Amino acid sequence: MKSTEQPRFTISPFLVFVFIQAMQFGSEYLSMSTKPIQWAGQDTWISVLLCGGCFHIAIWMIYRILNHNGMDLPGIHHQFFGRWAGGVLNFIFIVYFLLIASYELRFFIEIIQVWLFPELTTWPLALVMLLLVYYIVAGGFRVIVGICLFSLIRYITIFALLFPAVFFHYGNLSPVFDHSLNVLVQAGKSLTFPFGGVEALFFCYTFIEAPQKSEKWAYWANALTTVSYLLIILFTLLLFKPEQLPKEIWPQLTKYKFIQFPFIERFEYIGAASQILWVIPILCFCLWAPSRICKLMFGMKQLTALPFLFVLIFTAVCLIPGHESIEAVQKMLSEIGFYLIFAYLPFLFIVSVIRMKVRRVA
Amino acid sequence: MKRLLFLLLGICMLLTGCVKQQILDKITLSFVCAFDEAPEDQIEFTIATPKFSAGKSRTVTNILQSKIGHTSRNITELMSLQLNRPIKPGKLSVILFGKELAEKGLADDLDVILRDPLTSRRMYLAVVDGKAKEILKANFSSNEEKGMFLYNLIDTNVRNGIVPRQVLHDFEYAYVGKGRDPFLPILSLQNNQIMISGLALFKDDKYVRSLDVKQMQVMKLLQGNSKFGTLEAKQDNGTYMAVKNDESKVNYQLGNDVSSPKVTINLNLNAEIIDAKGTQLTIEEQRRIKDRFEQDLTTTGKELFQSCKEEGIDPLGLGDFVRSKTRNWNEEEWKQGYSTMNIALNVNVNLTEMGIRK
Repeated sequence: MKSTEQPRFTISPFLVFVFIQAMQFGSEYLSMSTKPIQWAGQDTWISVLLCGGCFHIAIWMIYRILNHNGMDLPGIHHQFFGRWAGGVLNFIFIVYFLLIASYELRFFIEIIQVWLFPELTTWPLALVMLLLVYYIVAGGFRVIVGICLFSLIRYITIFALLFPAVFFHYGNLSPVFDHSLNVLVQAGKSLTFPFGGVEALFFCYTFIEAPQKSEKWAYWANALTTVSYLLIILFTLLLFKPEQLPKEIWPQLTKYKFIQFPFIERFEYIGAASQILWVIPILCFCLWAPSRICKLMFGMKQLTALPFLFVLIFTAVCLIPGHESIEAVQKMLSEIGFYLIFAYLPFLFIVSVIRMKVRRVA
Repeated sequence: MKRLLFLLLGICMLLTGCVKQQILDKITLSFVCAFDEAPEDQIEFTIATPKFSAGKSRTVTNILQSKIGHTSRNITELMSLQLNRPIKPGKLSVILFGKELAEKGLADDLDVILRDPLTSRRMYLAVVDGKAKEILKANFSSNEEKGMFLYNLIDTNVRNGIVPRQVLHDFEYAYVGKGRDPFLPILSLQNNQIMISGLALFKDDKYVRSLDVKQMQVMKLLQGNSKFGTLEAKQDNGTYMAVKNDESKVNYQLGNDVSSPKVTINLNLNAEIIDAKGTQLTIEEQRRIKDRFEQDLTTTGKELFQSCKEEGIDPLGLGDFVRSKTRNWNEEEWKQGYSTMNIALNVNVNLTEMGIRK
């Protein structure tokens, strides 16, 4: 298998920064601060750094695996575990990405339903969003990366953090180091889901022009995500008491309740609707990656596989009824994501290293 | 295939307007609402809806709607049966609570506002001395909308005056957060005029004690740096003098050992003399005036601490301050020691200017 696609399908190494950043920074950030702050309180920012560090190592491992083998994950699965076991693993990844896509889409629709239009039913919005996503994914990987680049506009919302500044209580950040390492790690564990998304590298590797050069950009993307999350956690700590947080479902949307302009009284409308910028890139990739796996596994065209995936996601989204089940899906996904990064990835890394050693000896 | 896709995307454009619209002319926006106590654990909920009379510009009258029921949302529903346009809470900026209801606790009634995605967290709350409904009945704002009038009344006094800020977010923060208790301004009606007559201190969410205007001012000074307000103090010769607060800075210190006071509050105030009652302001005289003001502020401050300790409440957030400086802070222990705790107050008044006369 050749290590890269045709040049006209590939992206420049620096676009990996944009891409990984968009994959990591999903809409889970809206509610991510609640849980870790319950455990680690004012020290949660340490957990964020801890988690960011762990993902740095994860990216390092991913690049080692990929560089050794010079192919993407479906190919590696085939080579390591043979046709059948590899196929099963690839299939698991298809399900994983479809689940993530359904979750992200349902999550976005829930926000729209709660914050903007309570009368809205799930399916029309899901249909419209999926049509948009289909249109983007049909354009290929480069178009998806283009959408990721476009979604960087979301960093404008960082200014929304400034409006509640008069309500900040700086005393909330001290005393520092008042929690045990154990608790910090536990809080860090609950942050792995928002950090997740680096596994996308496994699938886009062959689409990067000179993939070895892109490694540093992936690290930078992770660093930017870490800094963004750090800001979010600090902001939440300054504005809320830890006791207030369990009552808030989306503390990061509550910040829009502090913004008032003469021309727009309820800024939440813009804040909630802007979540689409977080959702669309992930949605696109999570439809693209399974279709890509289908192509490699069954030899079918990506455009033929897409409508099936489309229908699957649409059905799944309509079947998730309300907040409780969305939370349940999130819980399940964060478990899967955790074991993917901290169990499966090291396992794959070790297998890869052993294979290299064995091959060199032989 | 492509053509079909474009067609589908085009059809999506027609989906706009498929959800319920809320056009300003077809809904009732209320700026102020009031909660009162009613028999059998019910609440009396009042809203003042503005009515813009056509033709006459700048005149707004309010129509009062009031009903008794168990939940405010259900009452709103019942009110809609009387109104030609449905009531929407999007612009609600002031909520008034009757004194009796405040004594029973506000948390239950605040839940509905905090839960609603369409309400601001910056709205003002206030306790009314008496029944909140009565205050809305009074004709205190001539041509202005009553809700806007009340909002501006509290807002200007918080921004440029002596009323400490406590918006909805602050209230919940102080109520739910450890080591802090909420407070709210008290509104009262005097000769058909509304005024902020003091501060209501809460224990958890229950109104327990009130402060007068002077104590409220000291409270504001101790809460944070401020730049507004006029202070008055009796001089040795029996006359009163007034100074203007140009800039006040406050900082809190935690006592290091057992013998020193647990918390020391240092208040530094730069003041400008604005009313000297004709006294020649020599250096000695200025020093005397300064001493007087320092003494006066310290006494009021001590009274404030004393009444807080008696009720076991902590509107200044001293517990929160100590928490931020102590490892493994325990709320229970803190509460036990609070009533006998030693709080020191050091006031330093600097007379910087004296207007344009000597």
